[in-house]
Amino acid sequence: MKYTDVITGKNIIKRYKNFTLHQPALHIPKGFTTALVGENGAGKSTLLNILSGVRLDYEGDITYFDGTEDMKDEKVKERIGFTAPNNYYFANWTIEQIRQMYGVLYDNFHSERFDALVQELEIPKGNKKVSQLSDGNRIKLQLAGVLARDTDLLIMDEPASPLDPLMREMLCDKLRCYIEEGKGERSVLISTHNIADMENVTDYVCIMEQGEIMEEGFVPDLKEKYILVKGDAEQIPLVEGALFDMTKSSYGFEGIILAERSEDVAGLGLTLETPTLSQICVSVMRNYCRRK
Amino acid sequence: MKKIKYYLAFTSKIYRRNLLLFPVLVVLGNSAVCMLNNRYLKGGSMVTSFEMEMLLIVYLMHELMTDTSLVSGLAGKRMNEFTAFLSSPRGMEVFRGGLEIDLFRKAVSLAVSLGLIAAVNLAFYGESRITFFYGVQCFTFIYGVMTLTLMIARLFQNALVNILLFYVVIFGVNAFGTHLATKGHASWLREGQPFYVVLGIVLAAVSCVGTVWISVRKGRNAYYDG
Repeated sequence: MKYTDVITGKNIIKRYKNFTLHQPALHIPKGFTTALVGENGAGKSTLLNILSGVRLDYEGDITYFDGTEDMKDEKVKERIGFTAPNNYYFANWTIEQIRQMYGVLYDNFHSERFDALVQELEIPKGNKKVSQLSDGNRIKLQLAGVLARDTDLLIMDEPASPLDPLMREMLCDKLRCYIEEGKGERSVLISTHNIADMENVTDYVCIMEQGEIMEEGFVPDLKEKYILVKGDAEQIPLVEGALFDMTKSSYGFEGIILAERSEDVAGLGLTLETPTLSQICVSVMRNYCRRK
Repeated sequence: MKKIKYYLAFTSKIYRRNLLLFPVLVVLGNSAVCMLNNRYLKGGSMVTSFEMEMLLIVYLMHELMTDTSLVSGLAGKRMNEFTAFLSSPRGMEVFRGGLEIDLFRKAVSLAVSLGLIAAVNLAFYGESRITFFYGVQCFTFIYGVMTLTLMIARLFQNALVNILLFYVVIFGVNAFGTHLATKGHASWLREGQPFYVVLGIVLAAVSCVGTVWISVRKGRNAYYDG
C-alpha cells in the first residue's frame, strides 16, 4: 500500500535513569488511524509526548505532514490535537473556563462545536471543576476540546482506558468520522495497552516493547503475516519449534505462526485461523519478552 | 486587550469575584470596627496605622492563599496539570499574559481598598486622615511586600509553605518596624516616609518581573524535565 507519512522520525532517543526510548526510524501513515500498542512502561506515553511537542528533551529528528514541518515552527501544534490521561487541565478549571481557554490557546477552536460535543458526550455541565469530574468525563472533555478544533492529526494517549464500553464505541465512531471527513488528509495516533478496545478503528499498528517498536504494519498485512494455530495436546511436540508464540493447556494449544513457516506444520491436521489484532499483539510482546 | 482576554480565560469567575469582593469586605469591615472603636473607646491616632497594618495582613494572606488556586499547575517539579499549555502553540504566551494581568489586578484591587478606607475615613471624620502621599507610601510598601512574598511562594507553590511564609513575612515586617521604632526611626506606618515609597517601588519592580520570570521558566522547564 502506498502512503505518505504524517510523522516521520529518525533516531529518536530519550534517556531516563533506568529506561531508554530508542526508535531508529518512525513512520506514521497519513490518512489512517495508527495504534501504538505495548505493555505498561513500554514507552508509549513518552513517545507520544515527544511527538505532540509536550516533551522536547530528546535526541533525533521529527518532521510532520509529509516532512514539511517540525516543532521548531510552533504553528505545527495548531494542526495537532493532543490528549493525555492525567493532569491535562488545572484541577480548578471549570468546563466553562476550559471552553474559554481553548479559545485563547488555539485559533482553530469552535466554541459552538465544543458545546455540542459536551452535550453529545454527556459531560456534566455547569460550574463543575475538573477535579470533580470522573476520569472518563475528563477524557471526554479533552476529546470535546480536540474535536472542536480544525486539526489534521490527533495524538491520543490511552483515550479508551477510563471509558465505559458504550463510550469506547462512541470514541471509535468519532475517530472514524474524523478520518472520513478528512478525506485522506487527517490522521490519528492513539496509544493503548489493550488493543481489543480499539481494534475496529485501527488501520495501522505499531507494537512497542522496552522503548522500541518491535513490529508494525497495516492490520490486513499483519493478519496475513501471522496465522493462528490450534491443536491437541499431543501435537505440541510436533509444532513447538515452528510456532512464534504458544499457550498450552491440558486440552491442547493455541499459538501464532509466521505465515512463511506455515508449511512446517502442514499436514498435521491443525486448525488454522486468521488471528485477531489483539492475539497478534500479545504474541509479539510475549515473544519479545521470551527472547529477552 | 489580548492579555486581558488571556487573564479572563485563565481565571474563573469565582476566583475573580472572591479576589475582588473578599478583601474589600474585610477591609471595609475592619475600617468600620476602627471607626466604632474610635468613637466609643477613644482609639485615637493609632486607628489609621492599624487599618494599614490590617490591609497588609489581609492582602498578603488572601493573595497567598488564592495563588495556589490560580497557578496550581506550578505545584511540583513536573508542572502537573500543565499539559494544556504545553501542547498549545501559544501556551506560554497565555500563561505569561495571565500572570502579568493578575499582578496588575492585585495593584488595582489594593488601590481600590485604600481608596475605600480613605472614603470611610472622610465620611466618618469629615476629613480623610489618609493623605495622598500616605496612601502612596502604604500602597507601594504593601504591594512591594506582597509581590516579593508571592515570588518566593511560587518557588514552592505549596499551601502549607504559603501559610508559613505568611507568618514569617508578617512577623518580619512587625519585628523590623518595632526594631526601627526602638532605635528612634519611623516605620512604614508613619506618614511622610519617602524611603518606604522607594523601597516599595524597588521591591515591586524586582518581584513583579521576578515572579513572572520564575513562573514562566518553570513552565518552559516542563518541556525538558525528567
